[in-house]
Amino acid sequence: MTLRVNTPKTPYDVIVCGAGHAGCEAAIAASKQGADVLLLTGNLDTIAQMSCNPAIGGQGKGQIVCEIDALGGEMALNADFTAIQFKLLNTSKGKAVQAPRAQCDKKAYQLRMKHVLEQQPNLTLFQAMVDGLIVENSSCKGVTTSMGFSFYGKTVVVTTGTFLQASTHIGQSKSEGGRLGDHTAKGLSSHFIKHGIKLNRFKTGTPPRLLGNSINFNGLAVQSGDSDPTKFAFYDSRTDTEMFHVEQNRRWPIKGSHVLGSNLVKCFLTSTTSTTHKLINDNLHLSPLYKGDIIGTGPRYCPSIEDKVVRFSNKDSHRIHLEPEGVNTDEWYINGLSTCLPFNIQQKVIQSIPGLEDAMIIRPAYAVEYDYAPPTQLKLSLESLLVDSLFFAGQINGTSGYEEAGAQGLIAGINASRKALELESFEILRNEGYIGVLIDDLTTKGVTEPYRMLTSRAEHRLLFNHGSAEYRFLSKFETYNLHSPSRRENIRNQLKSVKTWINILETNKASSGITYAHQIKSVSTSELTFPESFYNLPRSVKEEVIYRITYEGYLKREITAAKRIKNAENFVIPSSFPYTTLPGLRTECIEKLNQIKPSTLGQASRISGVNPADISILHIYLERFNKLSKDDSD
Amino acid sequence: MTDTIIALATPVGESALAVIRISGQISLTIAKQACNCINPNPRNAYLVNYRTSDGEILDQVVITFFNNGNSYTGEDSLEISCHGNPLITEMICKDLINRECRIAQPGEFTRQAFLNGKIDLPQAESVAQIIAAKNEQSLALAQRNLKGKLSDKLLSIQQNILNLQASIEAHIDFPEDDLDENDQEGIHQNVKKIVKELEALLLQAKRTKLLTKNIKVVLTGLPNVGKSSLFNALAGKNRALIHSESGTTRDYLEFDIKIGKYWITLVDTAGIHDAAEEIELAGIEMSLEQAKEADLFLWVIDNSVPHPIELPGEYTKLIRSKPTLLIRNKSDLGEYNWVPDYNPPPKATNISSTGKRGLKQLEALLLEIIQNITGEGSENEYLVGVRHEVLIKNCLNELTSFLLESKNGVGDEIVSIHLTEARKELDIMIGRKTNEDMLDILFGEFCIGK
Repeated sequence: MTLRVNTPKTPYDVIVCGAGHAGCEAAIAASKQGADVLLLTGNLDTIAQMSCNPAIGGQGKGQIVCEIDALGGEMALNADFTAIQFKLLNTSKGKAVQAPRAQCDKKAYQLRMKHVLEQQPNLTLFQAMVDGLIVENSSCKGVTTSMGFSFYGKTVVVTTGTFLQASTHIGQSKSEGGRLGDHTAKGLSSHFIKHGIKLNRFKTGTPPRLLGNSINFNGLAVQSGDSDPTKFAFYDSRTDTEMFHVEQNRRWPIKGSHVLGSNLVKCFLTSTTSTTHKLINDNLHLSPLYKGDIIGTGPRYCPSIEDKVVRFSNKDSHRIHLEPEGVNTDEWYINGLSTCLPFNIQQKVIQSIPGLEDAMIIRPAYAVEYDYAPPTQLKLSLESLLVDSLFFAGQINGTSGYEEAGAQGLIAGINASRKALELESFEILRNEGYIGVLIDDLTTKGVTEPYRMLTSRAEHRLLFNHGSAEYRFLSKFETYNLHSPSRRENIRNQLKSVKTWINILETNKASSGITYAHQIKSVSTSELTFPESFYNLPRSVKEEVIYRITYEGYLKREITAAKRIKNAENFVIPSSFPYTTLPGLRTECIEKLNQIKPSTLGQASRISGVNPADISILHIYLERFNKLSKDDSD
Repeated sequence: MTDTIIALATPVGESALAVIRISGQISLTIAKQACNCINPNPRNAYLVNYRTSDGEILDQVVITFFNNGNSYTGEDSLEISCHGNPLITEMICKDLINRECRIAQPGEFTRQAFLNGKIDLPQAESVAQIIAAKNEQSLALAQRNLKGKLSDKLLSIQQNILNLQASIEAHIDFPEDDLDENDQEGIHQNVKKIVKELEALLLQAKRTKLLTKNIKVVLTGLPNVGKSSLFNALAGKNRALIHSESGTTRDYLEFDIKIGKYWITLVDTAGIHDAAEEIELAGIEMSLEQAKEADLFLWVIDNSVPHPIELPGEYTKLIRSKPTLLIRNKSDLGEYNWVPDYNPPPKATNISSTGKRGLKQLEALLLEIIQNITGEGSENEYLVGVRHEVLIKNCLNELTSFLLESKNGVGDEIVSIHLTEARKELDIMIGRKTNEDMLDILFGEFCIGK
């Protein structure tokens, strides 16, 4: 851990630019792989900041956080330890689509993550604004900073979030910055363009924040957390030192009990009124969204309140959730009220909502517009197809969400370090988990709006229940060094135990005369009985056994279907494959293949505009190409 | 395991012979199971009966097995030479699909040959070009075939399924959003409606088959009611031997005639009675065979006697199960105008045996019945070929499973798989709709954004 300035001869293995959710995971993952890592951030006080809602997880996202944990990332632990309310979503539906979510203490979340970075071996943390790339022969060698000096790295991971050429909008007022009150990343955009990397504009927005003691909570519906919290991280496989690593090693040990990581707060529910809607309709012309000042595309799943009112004019009310931002502050996040109307209108809108009549805005709502680099310019390892050794992760890839960013950071970090250490790349395929779906969607299909995970994006979501993440990735742990040997061994034993217990429950009969397995499929949970020793198993094992028995038939079908994908996925296309010279391929198809550069035949088949006949032809030439190159090397 | 692929190697349509090629691992299993050819010597021809999985004989065929070392594709292969009747080839192909074969994509046999090292690069290159050309061609062809009513119908079904799925997925993926309760009953009604539409298409597939082959019209009735003279009158030639002694027509006779735009095969069979002679017994046996395959009956009775003798029970059953025209022959000798006592009675017409009186009326009624069978002029007049029939059936099965499981309380996240699978079948027929299309509907229909 040294700060090496202007030293091209002794480069870092990995330089990570940006310390948001992607950057933190990238830096930690890379250093855990054994790389010598430099993490640069424009501001040490905004590490891992939740710029929008103070919550981690949710549908599709909660599952990603569990996968991050299974792959050795930090987000799950960090959320668990700083959570102030836990809620398992979709409990009325099957386990397959249940997802954990937690309200977190925004500041505690940042501070803990910062401390993790500070303690991480092989990781150097430094505050500097990156303003350019050092590229030689289409290969990235390092970065320049606004302070005039440079850092050299064998690989560079860019995680600029919403900061690239960013502008914020409140009504007519427009200012530079990737977050209200923050800077913007200048210079980098032109460097990307210079090296052939295309950029586009996206837009996103955030609601106003209110002062809690100006809110009248009386009469508002209370939303409490679960009494039995569902956490993100896997604790049964970890040793104690792996569980509380920061807490145990901090310089100033905490005296007394740890207060976070439990249900401490309540959220509240209110809704917009006809007055709100009239106000918005009357002032639409003042919203930069409708005036045309914002050209970037915004997310449809997270529309501004003006969008909701206009597009769903038949609804006379929209839900508003009030969520506390932490336990050491009285700042409240007003979920559902994202807007970029002028501030005076925002005030009136707030006052038109029950409970908020006298509420005081302490941070206005705003929209932010920023550059992203269409992710079809990336490999599955998240390395650029255009500039060697340059990796991208997070919102710069056109995604939204802390979880999606964290997942990409993890994959980019692992791969950047593996590249620097001259190891083969680490890929997660779409039949292996939500992270696989995420990266495959991004690199193959690209994005048309800020991308967020939805369970419906996964063809085989039944296989991706949040509790199974560790088991699903077990084969990865064997090949890639993602966990301590003890955790790996524990996971392996647990999976064995899952299989043994399924067998036991399928063959042994309960007192009712039918097998335990049959009972699981036919009796309500409250009436279930198990052999005595089953109750002593770790929770994760018990839940997985029950899950696999409940869904047995469906899971079999899904596994077969997922295997079919895998066959095409195993058919690797060499990066040097000359599409242009293939007779019989249509021009449109050649262009697409050249642009996306699919790494497998399976990925190629998912590119829009490539049809089955094209795949047939490609298959023929690939076999030939592989055979010829094999003959050459013999 | 790789797929076993099949294709018709000879042109579609009437011909003396047709050849179906099979290539892949289960070729030998098919020789064993469908053709009862337990241990075929490679490259030897065997004369066998082709039986469906249900044991029904489809045709007498000649099969030749090629082991993987000696076949064109380098996979185990089987060639089936059958009679060149489109119906037979379609039924064999359909049975092969039931046995887990799949219809080959353009050029796929050659692709297998290349991958197995049977042909070299220049050969493969020329094939690749052919694949490309054929693909354009078949796409154009498919589009032409599909332009119009059938594609409109399938598109609307695809759209409906997307809408349903959007609603289900919205409730799964946005549990905290302010969405109205999912209308299970409405969803079920909609799926049921789609199931009905698909069933109508399957019926149409049956009808389409009648358009691609001759319609089999079987004359049936007791001996000496004048079947053969009617046959001759319709055929316009003195084809069948006419004799007043009971049981003259011992074998059966066929003649093709055209009525309206339809080609029909007219079949004259032996009269049905308790035969005395062995040779007649054989004839009667054959009559029953013919009757089973009939698309339509001309049931001939003698109108000059008051109460015709009832037909044997199995005939009555067959006649009642298929479209039938009751022909009261010899009306010049008497007009008792008997009507069978079941409901609704078949259409009936009177003719004279000698003077050909009533023949025009008979032909008109026959055409009417045929039009009814084929659905000509009705709004459901789609051409649905075997390829589509299989896909529509699969689609239908998925939706039926959806309804059944959903009724039994299986979760939305699981039954939604059936909608995805149903969509895949439609995708093959009318082009792919992606998950993005579903999301477009979802975000258009539901106010998302907690």
